[in-house]
Amino acid sequence: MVYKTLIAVLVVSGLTACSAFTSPTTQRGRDASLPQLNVEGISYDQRLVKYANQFVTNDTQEHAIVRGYPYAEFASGIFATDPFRVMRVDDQWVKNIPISLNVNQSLNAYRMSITPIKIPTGKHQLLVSGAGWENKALYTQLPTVDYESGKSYVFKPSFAKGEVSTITVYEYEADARFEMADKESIILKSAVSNPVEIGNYDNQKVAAVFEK
Amino acid sequence: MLLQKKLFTVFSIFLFSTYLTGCVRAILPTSEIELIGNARQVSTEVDLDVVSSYANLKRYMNKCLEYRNQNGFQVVNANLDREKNRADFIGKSNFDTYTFKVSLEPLDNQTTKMTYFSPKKKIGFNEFNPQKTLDNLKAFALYEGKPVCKL
Repeated sequence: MVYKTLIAVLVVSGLTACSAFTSPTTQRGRDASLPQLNVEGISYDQRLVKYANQFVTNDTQEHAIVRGYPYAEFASGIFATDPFRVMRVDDQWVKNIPISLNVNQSLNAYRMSITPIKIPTGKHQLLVSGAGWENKALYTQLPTVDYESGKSYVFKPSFAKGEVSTITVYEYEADARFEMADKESIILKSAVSNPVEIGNYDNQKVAAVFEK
Repeated sequence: MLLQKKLFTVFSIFLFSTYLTGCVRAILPTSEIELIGNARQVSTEVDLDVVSSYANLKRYMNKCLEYRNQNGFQVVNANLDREKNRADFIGKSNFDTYTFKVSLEPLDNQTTKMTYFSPKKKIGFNEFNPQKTLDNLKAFALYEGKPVCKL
């Protein structure tokens, strides 16, 4: 009798474990409908390079660099915080890297967030996403900033209890001795924009563009 | 007989509860001042500037010294002061206890003084050879490359 119960428990647990093998490998959540890069037949590192260079046509073109601030320790599952990343430059949408078997949604978003993306110099208004939960997007429209050639910019959030959370664009200097995901690799200089409230852009407006 | 059994139960519950409430607080130091005050200190010179050796050590500590499991955890709080050109690492464990401290101070532009504070336990054995740990840390402070746990 005991053995029968034991076998039943084993079978049930075996069946529930099967869900691990049937999990979706396609893009899920809100990223499914966003524009994607064409990444057929290239490795993940090459994908990141392609992602970073999508707004410049050649290496000699003058550009500035923007990236997200690693504000939270990387976690997984339902506690995964949505990292800040560029969604739109003026009216041109950023093409995202599609997820693959070994790089899931959270890790992919995190890698894109800490990758410095090149944008043409001049005045631009960026739309960034981040600080929401896994399937709830928070979009923030940054103020127009004059992005100068050869300089690096980071958008850094500030969270304070009982106050409105804001995001500010800073100029920074990169310290290559630290890892990209390390806060210490960013030496903040001066703020180039006023703080704006996180989530000031209605996410229904984004949904209206992409959801069929 | 019955009384003995009862006594035994009471005693085991007492022991178990002391374990849960953090007996480790009676062994390891519970504040940074206490850690530094009673620690055995060993120091050495590293032929590298403070920020670079800090960066190398941070990569090693994040990979190899931090752990989290059912029985507890150890996290390393790393602080760098670029203006004063100083850095330190503080190891923290369960029940707000402190496990070690490493401080980096500049001797000149290219040399760093590294000090290792090994905590003096109130109960039980202390670390056998802090100098060995320091030599290990020095090797990792000079190592630039893919993070590994053994050189």
